[in-house]
Amino acid sequence: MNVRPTGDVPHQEPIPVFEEATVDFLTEAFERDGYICDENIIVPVYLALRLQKPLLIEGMPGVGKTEIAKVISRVFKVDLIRLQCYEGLDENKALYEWNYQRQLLRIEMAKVKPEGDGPREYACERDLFSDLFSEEYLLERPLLRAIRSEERVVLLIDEIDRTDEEFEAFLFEVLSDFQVSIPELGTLKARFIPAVVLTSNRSRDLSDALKRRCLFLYIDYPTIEKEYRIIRAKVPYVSERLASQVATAVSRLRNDPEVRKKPSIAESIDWAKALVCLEADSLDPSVLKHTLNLVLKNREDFELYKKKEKVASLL
Amino acid sequence: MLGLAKFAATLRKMGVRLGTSEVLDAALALSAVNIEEEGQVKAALAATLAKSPEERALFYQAFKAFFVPPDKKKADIQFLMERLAEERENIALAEGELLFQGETLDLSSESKEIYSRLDREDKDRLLEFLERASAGKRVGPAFKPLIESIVEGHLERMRSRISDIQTHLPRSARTGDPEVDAALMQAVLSGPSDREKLLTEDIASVSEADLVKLETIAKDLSRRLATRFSRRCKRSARRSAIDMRKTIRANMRYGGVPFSLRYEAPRIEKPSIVVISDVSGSMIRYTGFLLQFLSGISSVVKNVEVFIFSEDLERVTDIFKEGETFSETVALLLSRTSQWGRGTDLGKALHTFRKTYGALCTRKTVLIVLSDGKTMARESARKHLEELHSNVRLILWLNPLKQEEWRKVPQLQDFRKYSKMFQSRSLSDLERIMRTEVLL
Repeated sequence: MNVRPTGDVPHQEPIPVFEEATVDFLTEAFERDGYICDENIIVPVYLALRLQKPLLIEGMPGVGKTEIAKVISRVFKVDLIRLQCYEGLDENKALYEWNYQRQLLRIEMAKVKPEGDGPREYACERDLFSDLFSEEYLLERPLLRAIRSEERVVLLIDEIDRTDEEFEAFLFEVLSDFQVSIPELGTLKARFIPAVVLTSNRSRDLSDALKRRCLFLYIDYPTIEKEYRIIRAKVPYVSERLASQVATAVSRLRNDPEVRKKPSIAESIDWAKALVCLEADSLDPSVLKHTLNLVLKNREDFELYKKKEKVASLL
Repeated sequence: MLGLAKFAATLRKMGVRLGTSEVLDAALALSAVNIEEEGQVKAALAATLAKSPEERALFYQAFKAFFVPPDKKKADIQFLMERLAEERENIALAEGELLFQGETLDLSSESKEIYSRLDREDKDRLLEFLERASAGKRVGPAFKPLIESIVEGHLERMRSRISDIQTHLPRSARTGDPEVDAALMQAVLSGPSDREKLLTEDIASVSEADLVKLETIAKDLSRRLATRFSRRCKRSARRSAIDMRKTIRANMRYGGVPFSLRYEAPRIEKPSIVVISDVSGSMIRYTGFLLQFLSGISSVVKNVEVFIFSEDLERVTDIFKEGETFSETVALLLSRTSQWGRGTDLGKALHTFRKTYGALCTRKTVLIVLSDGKTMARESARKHLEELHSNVRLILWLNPLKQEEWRKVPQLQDFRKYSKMFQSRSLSDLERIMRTEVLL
């Protein structure tokens, strides 16, 4: 989802630190940021910040899971560090890696004898070794960056369900103690506990151990009323009538068991934007026919809604 | 806090997996929110205690049943007490009726309860049996344990006939705490969720209206299964041995200093599946769902070949590839089978299969037979099964008959020697078998 046009009234009150935010502050701040939600979402976010626990967010694609992390970072004006998960992601890509090539170069250079009778760069191999595993050769990846950060950050671990179970287990240390162990450097503890948000599309079940360490938030598709408010907040110049018609139509599409790919919130916003561009002030069969491909992105679904009675059911 | 512990106990009994750490988190969470606002309390408990959408549904059910005004709670406990008293009465009544030579049978409380819930007709039949057994010549008190085990077994089989099992709190779910039990009772009364019901319902008895829903669930399950399996393959593929030949070749340009390492990727072995499915009568629905399920996991198996049989065998792999939805698949299957008569001949079908498609059987093949085993030419079916058994990795027999009914079909005992047989009536059966037997 996109950001509401900036330029709003600047926030005057001092921004609290994560653990001191209140439910009211969050509700207001989220609303101001254009993230429309109720206490079912605000309370878990509040608890995650207050109890300093990671927040695991599940839900269908496009309901605004990732957005929550972004909103938190904007509300508290802190950096967002994002770890995008994918199949085969391992700790080298997530935590840290030694710069192997650079280390090799160093070794090669150490072999070269300096010209003349000058002293060798390293008195013994041991010095070389301790130099090779110093921070100079350390490649920080998102998790380590979040842990070592000098100020508060939001750490977003996106689509955790795409990684394998092995990686999940590896995350435990980071998520429960906010520390990481690097054999050559020792254990590094976070100076500031980051706000951690994990998202999952439920393409597989996550392990109980991971869930135990997190607070859980399930985001469902919004109600018609809530979606109406979201569209009104996100799409400038949309008329009340159009917004409510779009919200209703999208909700009917989602409830139709024959529709295979349910439209997401992002798609309904795109749809409303497109309708505004086309200067449509309300939905009618011909407008629907030409714009329905913005929400139905599957051939079968699209064919299904070519039928007249199906189109009529959306109005 | 006691209330929270009791609520956690209720959730556990309803099937939510909860550890102590979750309950502790819930306590912390409660101290951080405004206790007077129900919405906040509910959201705080949900965030800490229910960690999947399925658990979330149970949570809301439990929350509704547990956090009620005091009057209602009192009434619920009263209701529970009445039920329990009624049950004790029933058990006492059963003890009075179930006699062997004048002595009360030593049965489990569960069995006595089942007995008390039977129809008059079924009760009378059982009593008649006991009477005849008691009166038999040369029948002494030593026979009592035998009679007890017969009656116990019989009652166990009758369990499915009891219609009001929904309004009854199972013994295993009880905690002994009236508050928790009363809430559980209310939760039981409100019935299981749709999804749960459909998952465990016999596929053949799912109504037309629910079929679409069931299909969606099947897709979801098979997709998740497939992802899980592919992840596992990928995992073993990574971090393997360094491929020296490739590494040296790739690093020639650095003067032989191994800057960029190359790894060996082991070959992933996927099973190939051959399905031989009975399509006579009601079996067609099970076949339809099996095919839907297989198409969901087709990305993680090497090859799927599908055959249907009733009088003889026919290859229908094209249907499997074409039929996108359940109704399409079933319609296509029906169009293929209409020319056939009623007879089911597994023996002939297996004969044709071995003769024409024998090459499909390798040590990597999982042969899935979907049939209730009621067939003509049993002996030849047995013989072919025996031969196939040594040619393939595994023969899986999916049987839509209930496991209790297997013994009524004597040939199943023979077939089981050469195959792993599973009851496969519902979607959850199917999912479990695929997970534990095919995608190892």
